[in-house]
Amino acid sequence: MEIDDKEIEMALEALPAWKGSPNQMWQKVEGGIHHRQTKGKWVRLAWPAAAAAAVLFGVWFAKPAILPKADPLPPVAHETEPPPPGPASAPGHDGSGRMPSAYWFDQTLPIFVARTDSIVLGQVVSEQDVQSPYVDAHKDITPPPAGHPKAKNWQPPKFEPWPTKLYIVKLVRLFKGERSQTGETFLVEQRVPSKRVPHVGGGDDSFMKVGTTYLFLFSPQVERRYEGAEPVRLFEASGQVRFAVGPDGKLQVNMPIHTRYTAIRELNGLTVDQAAEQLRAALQQ
Amino acid sequence: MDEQALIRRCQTGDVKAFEPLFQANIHMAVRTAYLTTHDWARAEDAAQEAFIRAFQKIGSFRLGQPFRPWLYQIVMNEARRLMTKAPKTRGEIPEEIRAPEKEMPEEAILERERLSLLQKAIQRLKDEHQMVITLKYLNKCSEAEIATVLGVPQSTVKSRLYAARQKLTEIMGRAKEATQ
Repeated sequence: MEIDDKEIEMALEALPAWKGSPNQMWQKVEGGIHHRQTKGKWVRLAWPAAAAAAVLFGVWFAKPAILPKADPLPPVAHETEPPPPGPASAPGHDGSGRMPSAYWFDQTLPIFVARTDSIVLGQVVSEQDVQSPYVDAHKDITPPPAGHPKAKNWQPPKFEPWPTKLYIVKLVRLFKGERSQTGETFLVEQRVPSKRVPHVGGGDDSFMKVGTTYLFLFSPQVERRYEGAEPVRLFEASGQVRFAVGPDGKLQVNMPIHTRYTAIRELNGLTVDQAAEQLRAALQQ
Repeated sequence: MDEQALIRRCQTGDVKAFEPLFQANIHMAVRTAYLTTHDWARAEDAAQEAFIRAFQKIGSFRLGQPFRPWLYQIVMNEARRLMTKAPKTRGEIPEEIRAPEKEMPEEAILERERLSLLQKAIQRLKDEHQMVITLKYLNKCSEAEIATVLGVPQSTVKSRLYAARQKLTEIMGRAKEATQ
């Protein structure tokens, strides 16, 4: 049956009547009108003043921005310290015992991260001792494909807790692709004997950006264990750090990265304490 | 003083001239808002804001145009805006509707239930349909007035009213089936 006009009218008329006070409501409306009129007046008066102020401030602040920026790094210590002679067989060595001076940097910076084809300079924001699961990287952490000779006897390796330093590092400078540009290979590690020099894991530097804060894990005991070994091999045959940051910006476990020193992706707004807390929680899982 | 003269004074910024317009329409404005908000406090907020906005916009009001549909349109938009901001608080219309008195109480109860269902059905209409239904049947505006205020031809108002009634019939039919 079709709804007719009468029925609709009756339904709407049956809506309850308002029992409020019109006079009280009028006071509010009148007040609201006056308030907006006053506000509107102030806005009309204030905006040209605000615009003028903004222009002045803009000019004031833009001035330094358009001037050439000073190098944020301390002066590069070119040739101030003779590089230790590297073994003649080491890749990147030019036979003279000296590394290209361009690769020298000021070692007074609190932390430097290096790998074979890039140098990362950063400032330590925070440093904490944690335990990270460690496994000898010679062991296969993923099962070999079915039919592979190793597949028969393969057993998942045990991860041991390993004393690890957690660094939160603000990236100051990243030298990348030096090798391809110069046609030389070099081993930064050879020139930086300090144990305070962790390495960026393979491929980890590809995402890194100057000015961003990253998380690094560094296991000094592993370092000691391999002390004296050939650095690149050391880097490859390293421990296991099972942490990474997922797309949600949180630290995740069970994302094996075959490097001892792993730059975990940028903190995505996490504070240092929050990141450390998440890492601790991840380690306990 | 007639409505148009008051509006002319309001357009010069005379707030006092707005009071008679307010007093003449406040009850209906709150009820109109209540149809959307289902909550008296929110309906009052919506009506209050609508009157303030109406005064602010009164400069753009074309003299000679009907005032009530223009005002109620603002009220309905304001109520909807309020409910979009806080949709969770939207509730059902309470069972306090005033059904016409009938001699037989049972008949009155059935009538009351049907009206209540119809009110809920009106709430479920899409905005443009609810607007014309409310303006015509609650605010008692003529189709010509509604057309002027909405800026559409009168034939469009007629077709919207027809479509709205069809939709109401459909909703009521489904509700009836569900209760059987």
